[in-house]
Amino acid sequence: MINRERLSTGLVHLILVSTTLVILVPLYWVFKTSLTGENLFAFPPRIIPVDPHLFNFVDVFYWIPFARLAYNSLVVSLIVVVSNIVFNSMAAMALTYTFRLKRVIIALYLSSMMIPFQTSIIPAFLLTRQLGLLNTHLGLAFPLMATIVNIFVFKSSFDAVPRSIVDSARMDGLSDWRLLDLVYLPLAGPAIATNIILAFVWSWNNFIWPLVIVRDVNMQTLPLALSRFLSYFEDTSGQLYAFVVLVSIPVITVFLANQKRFVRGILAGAVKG
Amino acid sequence: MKKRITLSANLIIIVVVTVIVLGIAIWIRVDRTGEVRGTVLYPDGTPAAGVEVRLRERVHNLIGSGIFTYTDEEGRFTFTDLEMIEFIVDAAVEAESLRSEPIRYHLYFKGQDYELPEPIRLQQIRE
Repeated sequence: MINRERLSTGLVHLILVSTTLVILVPLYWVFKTSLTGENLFAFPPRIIPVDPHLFNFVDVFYWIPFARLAYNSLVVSLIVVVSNIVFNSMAAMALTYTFRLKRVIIALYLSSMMIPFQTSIIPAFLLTRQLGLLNTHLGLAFPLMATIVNIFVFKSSFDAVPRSIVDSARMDGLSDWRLLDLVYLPLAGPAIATNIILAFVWSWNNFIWPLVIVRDVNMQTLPLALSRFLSYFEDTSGQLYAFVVLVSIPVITVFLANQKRFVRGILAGAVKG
Repeated sequence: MKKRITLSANLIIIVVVTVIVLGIAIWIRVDRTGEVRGTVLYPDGTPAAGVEVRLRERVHNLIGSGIFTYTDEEGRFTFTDLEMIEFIVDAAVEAESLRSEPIRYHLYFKGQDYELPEPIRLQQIRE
């Protein structure tokens, strides 16, 4: 019986390790190519990097205005993250109340998630232009400043707050703003972490929206700059992959620093959503 | 307690990034002389004095026309006020039909103080 359990556990571990390897090998290949500049189609492929160096990373900084692009991406992501926490928590708190047409509003929220962004990109562009936000950080952040998935992450977290706490806070005379600030948000740590990570990743990796609204080279974000490496007529694999590594590091770091809360937030949404 | 752990992880990241950025900034400030130095040797290994050394900038796959200097009695040469990230160095003594293989070097930043890791070796040109 014990042997059978061990065999089953071993098999599960084998599958998990194999799956992890399949996921990690492309990432490793990107990292290895960034250190060697080796041709991707070289045969036989080398697992261990030969003569690794950091010159490809150096080239990235000299070939494109990396610092400026990173600054743009960072500012836009910060605007998106802060506004996601503020607006999504407000919307989620409203949804914890009982009111007429609440179900209709939730249905509207959920149904609008089914509409791909590409279909609404022209109205979004016209609106942004009317507001005079083309070629600005705020304009770049505009479509992601409130996201429905994150509203529901907050909602599930707020729904878990005991009604007695909310009622006693009300009896103490707390307004809606104070209730959100002093009761709901302090109890929604995992939901905040989930909002931070999802909003940051979506904003950081966003390509199509910056492509549509940015005309000024100095306002480009990092994903847009990827295309610049493909315009040179020499082999730029090393620099391209070094750039990919540099772009990925912040996202991976933010995730690793907050992964426990993120997983808790996502699981809470899955169970209670 | 768990909140503290998450905060400290984020704090550690900020500190590490700050230290790395400051370290690189200090390194660049200290090591930025714009000089590239090296030695030229004859085929028998003796220092080559008065030899013309050429340094050409390489940008992507375009190579510049180059700048020149001469070696001293010990076969040493120095290029100054350089602002390039990648370059090719070679040396030649046309009168004696001696020439070196062009060697490509890459720096970590423009103007980095750099000593060529190996001497430039002249070779007899076979007609």
